Amino acid sequence: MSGMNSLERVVAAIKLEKPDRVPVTPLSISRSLRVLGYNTAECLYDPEKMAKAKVAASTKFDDDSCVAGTDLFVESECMGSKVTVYEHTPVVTDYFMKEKSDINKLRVPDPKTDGRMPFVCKEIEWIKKMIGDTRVVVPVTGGPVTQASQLFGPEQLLIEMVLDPEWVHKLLRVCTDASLAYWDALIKAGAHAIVLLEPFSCNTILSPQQYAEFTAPYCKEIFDFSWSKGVVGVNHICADTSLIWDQMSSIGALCLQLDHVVDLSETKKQVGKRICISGNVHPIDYMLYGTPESVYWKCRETIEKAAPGSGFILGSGCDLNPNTPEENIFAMIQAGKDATYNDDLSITFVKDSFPKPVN
Amino acid sequence: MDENAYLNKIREAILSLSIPGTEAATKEALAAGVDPLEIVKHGLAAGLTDVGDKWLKKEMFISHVLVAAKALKAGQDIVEEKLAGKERDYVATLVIGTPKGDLHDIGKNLVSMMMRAGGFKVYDLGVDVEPQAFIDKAKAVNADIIGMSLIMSICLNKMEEVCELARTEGLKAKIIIGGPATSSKVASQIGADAYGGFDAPTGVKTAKQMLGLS
Repeated sequence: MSGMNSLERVVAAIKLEKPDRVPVTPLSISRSLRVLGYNTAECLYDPEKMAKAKVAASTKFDDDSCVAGTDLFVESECMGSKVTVYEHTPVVTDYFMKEKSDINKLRVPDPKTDGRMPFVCKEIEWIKKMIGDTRVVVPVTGGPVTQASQLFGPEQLLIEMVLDPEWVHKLLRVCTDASLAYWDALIKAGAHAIVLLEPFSCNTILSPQQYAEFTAPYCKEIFDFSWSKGVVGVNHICADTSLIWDQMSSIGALCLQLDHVVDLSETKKQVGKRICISGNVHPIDYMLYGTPESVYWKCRETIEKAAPGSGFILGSGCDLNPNTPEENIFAMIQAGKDATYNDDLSITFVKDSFPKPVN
Repeated sequence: MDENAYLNKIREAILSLSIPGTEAATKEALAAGVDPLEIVKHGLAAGLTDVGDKWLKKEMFISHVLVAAKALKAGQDIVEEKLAGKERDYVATLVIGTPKGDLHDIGKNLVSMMMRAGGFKVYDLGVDVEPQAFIDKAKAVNADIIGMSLIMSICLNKMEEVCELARTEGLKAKIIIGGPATSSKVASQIGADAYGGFDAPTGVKTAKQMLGLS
């Protein structure tokens, strides 16, 4: 089964079949742009430049994916929240809704014309023109609850989840419709998979009951829609998710992308037989501050926890810091290349590319 | 009812996340002659600390903490005028904010609330704070602790600047960092004194331990 290209390798992992070796997709966004000396701010409205830098990075590092887009504020920005563009990322700096009645002013965006949606779609088209179907082209988007937090403010939203849940459902309806419109456009532009970034729904913030009530039904609609078009939905939640893996695996996404705070051997035990898991090397402690040796062996440890049986994609727990040393990214990719699958879906490391770090 | 029964009623109202219940229990305690400072410390703040303990055990979550804080505020508004001129006895002074470039304030706000409930005098500088502003405020109020909360790792360098400035200017305040983009490794890397964890109650515990208060 050698000679798979990146797309085939990732698809095999997602279908819980046998890839040639462990696929690797570090979540590299602003870090990728630096490969051509750019920052996010100067590429945000230039999809060609953005695409060229992303392709240059995934080619240089031999990453199995190429990530389109930069952040999870695109939808809420389109619906009226103000965004300030910092050097490495845009951030919402003024929420659109000042009071609950402002919900009546919300409009579902048109991805052809509104905000940065057409720019991300164009970026995907450029990436596809350059690399075709050789690597997974995967845009990042904001989940409905995360969008709602960026339209009304996180604290206010959380308070209303207790005091006025019916109103929160109305707001989530609009956010979900915004996602559906945007995902439709991203799929038409050529995305192979789409990441739903839903950090606001982690267990550090929401209870499992709140996830079931406010997150799961809306995300399910979005994941079911994308799969009806043959596009894989990736369910990404940063921070702690240990109380909701079962729910996260039951709403139509085909891959869970998890953060460094969770133990992937536990995730694998609970849900690994029915969904692909991606993660979860610490983007700061290892990827930014580690050495190639420490990164490589941490990746090997992660692979041993979650790769046997297939259904695993090695990655970073969250997006890479723009200052992440390139040696550390190469070391991560190398760990995946060294981990080959046997016919019984066990793993053999064909070599030790780096010596074990001395503690 | 003795004084403790009135105070417990306030605590329970906060723990059950009832804003009207907290208002009623606070008025009742005041009418019965309970000291307003006691109401704040052993009724309202104690109730929020109870909620924080449940949060640590994952029996309650941030929504519940925020509604409890709203109930506490409603109670505090009622005792406010009776408190005029009376200062709480604070255990220590904290200056807190998110570093320049990071505008996520929910974690920082929760730490502020829980620190206040834990008896700290809190100066909250808000979000997007310049490194020098942390130092200047800490000097001006003779702070025991500077707290910084970070979600976006791209702002780590600004956190590091605060640590460097604190060292070069010989600040007595200890620096605690917390939030998703931090860790004990980050703390040692940038020269902070401690990592206060992912959640606010752990932050309060860390601060108290550092100052020998627990």
